[in-house]
Amino acid sequence: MEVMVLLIFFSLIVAIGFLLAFIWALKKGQFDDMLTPSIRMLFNENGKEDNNKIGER
Amino acid sequence: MFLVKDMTEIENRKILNKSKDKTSSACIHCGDPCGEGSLQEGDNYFCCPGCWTVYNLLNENDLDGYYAIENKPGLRPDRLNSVERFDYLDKKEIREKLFDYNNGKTARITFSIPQIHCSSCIWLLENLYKLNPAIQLSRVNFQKRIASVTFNINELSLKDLVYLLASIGYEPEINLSTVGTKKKDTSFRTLYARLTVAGFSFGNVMLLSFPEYLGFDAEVEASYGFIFSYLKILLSLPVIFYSSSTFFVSAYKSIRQKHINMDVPVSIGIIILFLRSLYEIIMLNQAGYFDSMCALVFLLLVGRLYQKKTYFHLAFERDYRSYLPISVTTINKSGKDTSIPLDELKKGMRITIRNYEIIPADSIFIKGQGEIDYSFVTGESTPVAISSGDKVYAGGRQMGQSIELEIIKKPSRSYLMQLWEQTEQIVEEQPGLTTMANKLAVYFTPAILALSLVTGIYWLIFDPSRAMNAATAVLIIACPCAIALASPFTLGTIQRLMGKSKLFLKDESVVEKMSRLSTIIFDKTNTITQSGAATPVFVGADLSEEQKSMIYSLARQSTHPLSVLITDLLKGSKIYSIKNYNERRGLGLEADVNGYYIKIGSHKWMGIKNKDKIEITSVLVSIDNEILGYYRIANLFRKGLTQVVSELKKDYSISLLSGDNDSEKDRIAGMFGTDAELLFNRSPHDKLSYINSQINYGQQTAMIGDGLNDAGALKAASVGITIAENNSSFSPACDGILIASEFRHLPQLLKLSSDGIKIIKVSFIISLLYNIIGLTFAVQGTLSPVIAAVLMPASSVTVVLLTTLASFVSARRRGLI
Repeated sequence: MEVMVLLIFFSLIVAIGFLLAFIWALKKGQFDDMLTPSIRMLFNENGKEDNNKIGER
Repeated sequence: MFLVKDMTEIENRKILNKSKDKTSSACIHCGDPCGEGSLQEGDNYFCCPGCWTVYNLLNENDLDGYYAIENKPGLRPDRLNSVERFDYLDKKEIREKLFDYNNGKTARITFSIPQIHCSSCIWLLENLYKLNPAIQLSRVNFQKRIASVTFNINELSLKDLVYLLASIGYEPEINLSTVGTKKKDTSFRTLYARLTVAGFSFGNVMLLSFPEYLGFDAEVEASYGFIFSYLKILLSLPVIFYSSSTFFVSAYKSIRQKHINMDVPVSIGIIILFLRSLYEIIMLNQAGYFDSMCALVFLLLVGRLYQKKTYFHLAFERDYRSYLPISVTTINKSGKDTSIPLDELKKGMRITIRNYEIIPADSIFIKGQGEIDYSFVTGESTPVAISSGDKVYAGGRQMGQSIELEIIKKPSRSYLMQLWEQTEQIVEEQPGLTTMANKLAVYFTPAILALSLVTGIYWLIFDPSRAMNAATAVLIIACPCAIALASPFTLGTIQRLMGKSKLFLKDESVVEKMSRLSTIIFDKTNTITQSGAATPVFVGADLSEEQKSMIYSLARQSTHPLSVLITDLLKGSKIYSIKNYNERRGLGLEADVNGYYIKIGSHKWMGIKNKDKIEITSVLVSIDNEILGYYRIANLFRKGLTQVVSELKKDYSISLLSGDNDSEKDRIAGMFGTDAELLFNRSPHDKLSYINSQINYGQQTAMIGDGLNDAGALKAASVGITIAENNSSFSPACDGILIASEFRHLPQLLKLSSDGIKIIKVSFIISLLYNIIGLTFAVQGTLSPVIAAVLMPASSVTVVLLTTLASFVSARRRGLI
């Protein structure tokens, strides 16, 4: 049973690590624009062959 | 630069009117139909030289991908205008206020560009560096309609950058309200962070509580139970000190203002939960209620987030400063032009106003050919011709050539601005509108405190050991989590549903205000009438085909809005060659056509005094000095207006408040009915005081208007809704923006708001029922952590599901989705 305490302890440390990473990303503004990157990633270098339409928002 | 191409080349590409079949095709750049004056290059057609220029510019710079991403994505560049228009951007003090960052070499600036509308726009704006190598990086935020550009300031001035953007149709919005108000809104980030922390703790505390829910092995509990309990305390600390601080702050503020809002009982509940759990764990070695506490805070924060639907690309707080230009061109005594910031404009200065520019301050007209379009300020639909010595007012737009004015009042003292200041005072005087949840909190909080006290005293008498337990349990279980969630979820959902029907509300509280309305007041111009749409009807002698053709030949020479209307009406007539053409802006046209001398224009142009008071906008026609009659220009009402009005008449008293003349009174009276109040020729001040008088009578009024002339009324009204042609058109400060094409849905939208209030009331009852069940346990002192952990989230989840679903159902029933 002792090992359970140890596991909980470690898993909490990992979880807190991810929590802090998320908050860091949030404060850096990585979540400020959730829409444009999804459009941007579909552009080709010259935009010629793209046919993705997102329409008016 | 590249903008104005060789005029002869433009002429060569003009499609002659004869080839009609070709003119019907759409412009490859902006998608507008190619009417007269359109150009052709290869298989592509362009509606105007502007579109053609942009198309060529993009092609030359290897940016033709713009047309591949979206079909006809372009924006027609407003007018082929001079770079001098942006001279003010060379001023150091203005420039520095605009930059986000500038180290003398590299500068970054964020522009608001409301025209951004599709993925092609993003692509083009992020490839700006291909147009000018000095641009290092440009990034678009589509949701907020902003673009930030990093560029080398030594190679490209800000003025040229803005001019470059304007020349491809993306002129940034730069005005006084954007200058000097650079603060980043980080409230969203904070809310997300609070929510994440609460969710994290909620999950982990719940996990650590599972053994208790299922029942511990006595031996295991003795050895490990305390570790779990202390871990729960640790995990709850960030929830109480960080995540829920937003409720404590709000509760504290409301108590200091001597209002009780819903956050007061919520905060009491959270704090008692925390203290009691702490006490139970440390002193009694029991389980505590940390799981319930974290769940509660998490759910409440989800509610906060859901309620906070913001339409980033719309501005609801615009005031006159965003309408006025940021700088003006002054003329000093030696006749030299200098561009100065608006703030420095003083009485007695002389300024130049170019075509399509806005007059920044009340002035005296000195010289030029003035024709001022006051439609935005007064609601008057036709431009006013002015002559030397006349007074012109701030907010008017000059149509035609440059004019010279002498300032008689500082911009801040102008007629228009004073209206604005007046409303500011009024709004401050209005008592804070309390929302339903807060109204309930006023009764709820003392009731709960009293019940807790009575329970405590009862048990002190009969069984003192239970007194503390029962009294705190009442406060815990009564924590109105579900009630606090009912409004945000209902109003938030309804706000989103209204957004789908193109009514964008400033915030969710507007829904509640909409449901209480008793009076609806409409503006006329551009609100119930379609902007730019009017049908001329000829009144007078019957015109022969030949006469029609002659009028057509003359009218098509002019770009005046009224001439364009007549041209459109007579389209298809023969075209005669004309000689001795002469146009006086604001007055009329004259020419020799087909051997006759034709004049069309105003009464003044014909040399007759307007004695019989024809107040309708009309264009007189004379051939060889014999007046044949006139074109009556009547406004076209919006589609579905009759139906909207008759629907609204059932539930509201409606009236009309127009700045325009009463020429159309009879037509409107036919729709609005005899009991509706129809008021014409009202100045912006009159409108404002009318709304105020309505409010003083205890009426909850909605003002539906559009321009600056309604600005005061929109602000003073309980709910001010602006009708806008599209997302990017200018709208004064208001509570909601309704896109004109959805005008016919107005009655249904109002009904949806009342549905929302009914839904909230029902969910209040449901959550009170849950509370009563919980309280029966609590007053007996038998509330266990498990019951609390089930009952409290269950009530919240029920309310959340119910309100969201019910809102969808009612929107469907109203035919909105």
